Amino acid sequence: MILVLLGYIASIMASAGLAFLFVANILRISNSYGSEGESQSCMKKFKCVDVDQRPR
Amino acid sequence: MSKNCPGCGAPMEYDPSFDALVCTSCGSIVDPKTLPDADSFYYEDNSPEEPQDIRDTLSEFEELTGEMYDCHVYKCSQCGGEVTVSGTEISTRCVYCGSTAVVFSRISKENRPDRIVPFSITKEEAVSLVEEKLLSGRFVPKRFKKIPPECVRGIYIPYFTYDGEISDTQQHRLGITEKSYVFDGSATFENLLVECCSSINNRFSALLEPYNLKASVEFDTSYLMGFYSNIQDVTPRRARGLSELKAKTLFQSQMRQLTPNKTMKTVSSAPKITLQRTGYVLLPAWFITINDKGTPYTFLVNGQTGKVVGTAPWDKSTVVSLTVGLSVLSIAAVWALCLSLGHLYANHVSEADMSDIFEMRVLMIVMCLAFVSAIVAIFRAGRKYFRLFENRKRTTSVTTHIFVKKRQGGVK
Repeated sequence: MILVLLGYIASIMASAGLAFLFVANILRISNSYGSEGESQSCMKKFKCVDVDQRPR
Repeated sequence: MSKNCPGCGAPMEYDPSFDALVCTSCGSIVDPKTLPDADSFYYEDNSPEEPQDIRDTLSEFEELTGEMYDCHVYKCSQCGGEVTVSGTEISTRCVYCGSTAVVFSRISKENRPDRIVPFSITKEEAVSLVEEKLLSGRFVPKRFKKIPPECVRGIYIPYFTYDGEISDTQQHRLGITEKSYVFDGSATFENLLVECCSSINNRFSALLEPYNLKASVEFDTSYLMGFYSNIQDVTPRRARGLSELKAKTLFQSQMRQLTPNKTMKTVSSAPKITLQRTGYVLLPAWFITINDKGTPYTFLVNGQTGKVVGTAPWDKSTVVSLTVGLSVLSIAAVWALCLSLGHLYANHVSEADMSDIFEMRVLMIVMCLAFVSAIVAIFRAGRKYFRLFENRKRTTSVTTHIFVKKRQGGVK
């Protein structure tokens, strides 16, 4: 019986969480503009290697 | 001082759609470069148009209030009206006749920008971009669908450009394990933009980037006609600090993308940065302000590319009702799934076995999955809402609002 009750609670939480996430995604897409990191075009000749010399 | 039409003498304004000065009275179109002696009085000292400190204009019975601080009075060359300008403004509009006023004495040798990127996006285009992209959202209240024309201002923002290089050796550690990875990275910077106007939030203006500096032209006051603009007002030390911080942030974010595991923690980093200031440029931006019950929302549009920056307000009741509605729907769907699974098992096992199999195993699995997905979904949604609120905070920033509001009433 406790397990069933916990199952119900878990399913309610999951459903609410997913709905919350879905609405947050719509809000972010439709109401917010201007992404960060687009100023990276000024960075040239970027190089990154790890210590054992494997280029990445 | 404003630039006047050679034909009728009326003030002229720069029109991005013609890439030329257009007369506000007769409509004549004039190439800015053909105007004689456009820049002849830049370096003149004690120019008659020198703005007068507002304290000097007060009588002995008047006192200077906080709001008046850092204001100067400038006499309009067209109508003689007294225009109040802030300490760093170099172009504004006369509040009485609406003509453009350029405070030439502010553009001294030290403060004269090297280059300027003229506006390519017109006021109408900027407004329609914001209406189309931001204000057409599902959750935006209906009262925001149209932008009143008096809320739009075209402002040139001062930037320094820097060239240089950065190198770093970073040590990363994976989770709580002792396993660590060391990366060597290096990069060069060309025309790293650093906004040098203390009245604007640097993070907000950074969102306007990128600008194509190849389209910049040599600075000429003709491009300021019809727009507002400020000169740089940050100390060289602060500008240098901002440039190093920006270079470091960009470089580290790039390094981060190349690490094999995103959960890695950086345990040591010592970047070596050498940056040299290479220029001083004015870049165009449209500032669009809308008031919602006393809260100002300022949206920015890149005056060259049309990139829109800002977070539109949302209707709380719509958001809450949609979240609740979707929750109820998904709860019903999950329960329906559980019931059908239960029936499926009930058809295949006897009454005695059912409790063991269904209640213990299936329910445990479903419950665990539900708990994990709930935690993940709530955590991710929380992060998204946090970012959304942060973006909205920038859009409703009082500092940006004051920066725009301080301009004179005339509009382009």
